[in-house]
Amino acid sequence: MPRLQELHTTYGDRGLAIVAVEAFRDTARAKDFIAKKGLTYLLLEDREDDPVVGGTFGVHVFPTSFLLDRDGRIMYYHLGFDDGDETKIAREIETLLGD
Amino acid sequence: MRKFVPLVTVLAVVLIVLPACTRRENAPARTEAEAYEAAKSAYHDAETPEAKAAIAESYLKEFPDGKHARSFAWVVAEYRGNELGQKEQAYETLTGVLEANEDPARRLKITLILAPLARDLGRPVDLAGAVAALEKERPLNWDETISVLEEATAAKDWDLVLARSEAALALATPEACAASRRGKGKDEEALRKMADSRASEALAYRALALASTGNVEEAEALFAAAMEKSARNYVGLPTSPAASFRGRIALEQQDWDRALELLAPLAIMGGDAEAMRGVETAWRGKHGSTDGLEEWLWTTRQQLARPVDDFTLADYEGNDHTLSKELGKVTLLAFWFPT
Repeated sequence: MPRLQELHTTYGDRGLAIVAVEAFRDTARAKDFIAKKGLTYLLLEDREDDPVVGGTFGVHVFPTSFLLDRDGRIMYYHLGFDDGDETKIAREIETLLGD
Repeated sequence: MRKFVPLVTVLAVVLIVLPACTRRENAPARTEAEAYEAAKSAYHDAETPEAKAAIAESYLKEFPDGKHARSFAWVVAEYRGNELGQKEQAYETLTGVLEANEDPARRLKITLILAPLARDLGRPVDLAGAVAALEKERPLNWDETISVLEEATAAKDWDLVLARSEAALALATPEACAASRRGKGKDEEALRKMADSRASEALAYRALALASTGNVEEAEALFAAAMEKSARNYVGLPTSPAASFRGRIALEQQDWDRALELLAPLAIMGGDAEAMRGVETAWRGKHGSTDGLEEWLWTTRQQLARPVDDFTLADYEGNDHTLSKELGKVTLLAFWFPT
């Protein structure tokens, strides 16, 4: 998540929006984490009934990221966030911002 | 008579006190739980691979058969072995951990962590033996079976893949799925889907082993069955490795069109680096160079792209946000949990 903050800092001005959904409703820990790491992008919490992450998207591996174009189409998706992954994602972001 | 201390008591005192005294000479004796808590807290603050590996190694030196030995063995393999590239040292540590453990289920887990390192170093590792030892006690569960299949495939141990894929197929029934999801109440339809998804994975491994040992026709039939049964994730990619395996075979057969068809979605949407190398190889094979590849990948990406489902969720101040209203920009949508 701090890595998303880096992407937000680098690409925010160039038109990248970040929306992060916390899947486990661990409100106290999430708030603590957000404050400690100084995360400034849009952070939402999944709901208990009819969850979005595990339900609609069927995602059970974290973090999972989707890159959406300006029309809301999924152009890329990424499982996990290991060292070096930010370069991969950044390249995809560059491609989408650049067209 | 009171002067006589029963021999059992003497022995007990010697056995309990003596090791504690000897240990105190080197380091203060602590329990596994204390060592784990200390390691966990230090690990949380550790920032470099070296620091993380050292914490794990220190725990393992003290408690090679401790409750958390497997997790720390993984840390050593990942950070000492992979990130720092000190595979020899990681291999030595993990071999010691393996020797210190007797429980066959733990030995299998540790062997699976050790195996990729051993493979890179050209050292022996007895995965088949670890599997056989556990099977004497109980059948392997699904996760263990798949982990063994992954490693045996990477090691090109096709005999083991054939044997384990058969065991995996036996676990690909609604009944077996229900047994491994006990207490989590699943309806029949969900169990049937889960069984299909398992069967698809098992068949994919079996097909790859057959194709790799020259049994191409039988392999083709199993690949077809595997791809038909495969579940798909949200972006439409198959969750079974069948497409990836069949694509690999297509490359070997120089069937470039089939390789492109199977590997491109994995490369483009899933960021699968190996699939992307396969796509490049197939494109070169077909066109003689990588000219035009970028454009083709972009067109294919447009065809694969699906619209995202809309949702409304609250932020931490209680304000609702609807995804579609946030769009209009290139957006990175991330699902996470605080760690």
